[in-house]
Amino acid sequence: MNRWSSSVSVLLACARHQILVSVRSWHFYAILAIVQPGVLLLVTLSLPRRSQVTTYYVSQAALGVLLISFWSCILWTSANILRRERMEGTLASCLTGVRDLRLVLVGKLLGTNAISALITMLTVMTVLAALRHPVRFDHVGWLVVGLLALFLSGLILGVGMASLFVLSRFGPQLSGALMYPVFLLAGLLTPLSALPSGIRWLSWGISLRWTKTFLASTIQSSPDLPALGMVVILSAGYAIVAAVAFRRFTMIALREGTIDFV
Amino acid sequence: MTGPGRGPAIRADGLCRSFGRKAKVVTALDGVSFEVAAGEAVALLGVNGAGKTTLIKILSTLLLPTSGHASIAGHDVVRQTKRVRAVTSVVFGGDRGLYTRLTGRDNLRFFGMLSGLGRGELRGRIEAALDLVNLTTAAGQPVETYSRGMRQRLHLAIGFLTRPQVLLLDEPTVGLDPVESDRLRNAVLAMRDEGVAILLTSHYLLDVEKLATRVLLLSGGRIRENMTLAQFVRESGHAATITIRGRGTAPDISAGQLPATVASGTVRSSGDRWEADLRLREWNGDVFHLLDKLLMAVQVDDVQVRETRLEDAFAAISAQLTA
Amino acid sequence: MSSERLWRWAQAVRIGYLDYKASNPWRVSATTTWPRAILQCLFFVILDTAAGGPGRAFAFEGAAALILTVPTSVQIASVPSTDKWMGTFYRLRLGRMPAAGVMALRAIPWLLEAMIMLVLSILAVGALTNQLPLAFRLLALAPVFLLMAVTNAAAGLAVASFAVGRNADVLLGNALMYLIIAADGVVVPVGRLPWLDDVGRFLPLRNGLLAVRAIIAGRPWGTHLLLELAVGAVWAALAVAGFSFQVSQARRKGADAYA
Repeated sequence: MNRWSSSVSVLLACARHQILVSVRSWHFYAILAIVQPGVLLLVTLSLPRRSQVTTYYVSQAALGVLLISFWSCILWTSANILRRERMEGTLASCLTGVRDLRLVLVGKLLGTNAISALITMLTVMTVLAALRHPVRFDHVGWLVVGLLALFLSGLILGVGMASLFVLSRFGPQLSGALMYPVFLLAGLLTPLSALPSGIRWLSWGISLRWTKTFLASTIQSSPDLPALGMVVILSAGYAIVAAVAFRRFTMIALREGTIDFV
Repeated sequence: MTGPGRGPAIRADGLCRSFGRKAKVVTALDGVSFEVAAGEAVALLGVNGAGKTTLIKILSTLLLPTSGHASIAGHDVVRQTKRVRAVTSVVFGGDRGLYTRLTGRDNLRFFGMLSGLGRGELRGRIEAALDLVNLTTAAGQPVETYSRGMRQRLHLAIGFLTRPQVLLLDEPTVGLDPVESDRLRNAVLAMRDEGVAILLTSHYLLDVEKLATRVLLLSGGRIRENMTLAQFVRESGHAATITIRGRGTAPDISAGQLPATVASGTVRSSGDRWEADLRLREWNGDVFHLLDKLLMAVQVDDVQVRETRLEDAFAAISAQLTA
Repeated sequence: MSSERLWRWAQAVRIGYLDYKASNPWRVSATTTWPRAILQCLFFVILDTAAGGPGRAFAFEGAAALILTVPTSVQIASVPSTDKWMGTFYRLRLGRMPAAGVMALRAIPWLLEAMIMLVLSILAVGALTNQLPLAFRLLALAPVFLLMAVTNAAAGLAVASFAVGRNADVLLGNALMYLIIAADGVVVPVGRLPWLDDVGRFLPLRNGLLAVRAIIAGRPWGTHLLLELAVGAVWAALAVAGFSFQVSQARRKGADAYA
């Protein structure tokens, strides 16, 4: 088996393992991928008068809720993957194993992100069907490209956040604190124009903002390729930060022994 | 010391406890009966899964029996739980059972309040309990920083707070070093001498040897033996083992050649050297005369005497019970 | 009430506060939890406005009340779950105070947290959305919000009493909060989702919020307040029943990790 296929098999094995772990902790996915998006979508579609609920509005709302749920899943599951390994006492084995921990981590994130993405999409589709609200995307192909970019960006974000959160005692508080700033600054369900002008510039550095912009552009108009480009550029930047964060965490673990080694 | 009328401090009468339903019923206790008097310390022995902790939980009112009765200081453990709890302390030990984010003193304060101690007496009792278990210095640190032994000592301190009439100890010395174990035993002995009835379980038979005057053997949910400590030791079949090492011709310790005081003997040879074990029914000064006769014609390099440990007794009895 | 009893209650509150502070130091709350509350409040106000809802003021009143739910419907489950994870439930069972009472007293710091988050959110969001006059009027209604915090806490503890043993406290606590968002007229007015309205009648916060809106609009509010109190009392009774059930189950089945 060459190195490439070996890496792929490690990724898939870790993804599978994490899916099994996720099934055991299904409660988190029930909240993040079913309850939260279900209620937010319901509320968003119930706020305006019936006549104002156009297909365009519904499609925008569906995208916004999808992205909110995706980000929430990253914060509450992906970002805490290493932290939970530490709490369980299994982080030592992952760190000192033969397989590169980066591969292991990415594989696990693959598993958890896939589960949350799948369940969220099913939830959104179910709510829309129940409320009999149609959605419409004129550029389905580009929509798929955008969702893939979102997924990959999510993996990178997951690596970085997992590497930062593993060293913190206050993971849940950190996860909670990062929800609404991104919801607002990325304009996922609320317009950026509603934010004070002094902070709107922060949204430029949030890939989810550009993801939303790109995905929304596939509804009716032509795809906003510069927005997709921003997603790619920002994700590359995140990857550098994630790599630094990961290296830092492993150095601390090995040098200072602050990660629990059995 | 005892409740309404005179009677034993701890009494169990036909206690039964089962878990599960239908085809998956597990019987933890099956008609357990015994008594412990005030000022008496009784050890409850048994292999893992014998039902010891289940019994302790029933006596401490944490668990209902399926059938049978038990009383503490005359109060029924099922119907008079408040009175039982007022005179009983139970120590389970282990890593759990403590608020680890809080300090040892905070844990003592809260659990002391819960157990009924008043504001006026609590502070003094806390300091006395900490001193008793040698935790005064560490009392202000979060429990999560404690070693295993320190946590165990904190459990004991909580148990000692209320100065109970009945003390139930479930493996009290687990995790303690020999010095601390000895300290704990002295504290428990002092309580016993003050009239506290003690029921303890332990896998460290040194605890049993030092603390208990009587032993209950629990096996398969039943009390199989109820005997004094001396009887328990004798049940192993011998009181001491002499190990003799030598060279050349080994001594003849075939059955017909051994005196009555020797229960059994074995010899192992390896080349020119041999090693003999003699298990004695009694250990006293006459044994030397026996040895003199037995080893007259052989070349002896070394003689060691070891009194029978309770582990030997426990192993022997357990083997009998499971046979 | 004897001073000794008050002292016991104070000790239970104290241990709850110490445990709360150990897992939520002030500097962590001030940099994570409280800003989250402010931004959550802002989010729902902006969402309502942008989506063409009933209006900024309506959304502000509802979003402010909603802030109470995070510490009291969701995070309050950490009170009973601490005993599960630390293995200390058997000590509560052996204690002189009823388990439900100990839980309720230990939960008081979460009420304090809820009120702090409420005040900060009202002031910050009021300023950010140019609704400061309304913000001050809402602050004056702090006792009503405190009542809602208490009724939410009762519901949170009731849910937790049954959920902790099944590791479902996070799920059910959050489900309660989201149900409140959907059914209590927080940002979507009561009546717009009729099939949820019947559910909302039995949830905390709904009648209290109606009382707040009635007071601000100069309408009668007494009935709403009484209904909020009644709903809270029912949830409190359920919490007592829940913990009593746990104690009884533990004693019957021998499991100390909650049924």
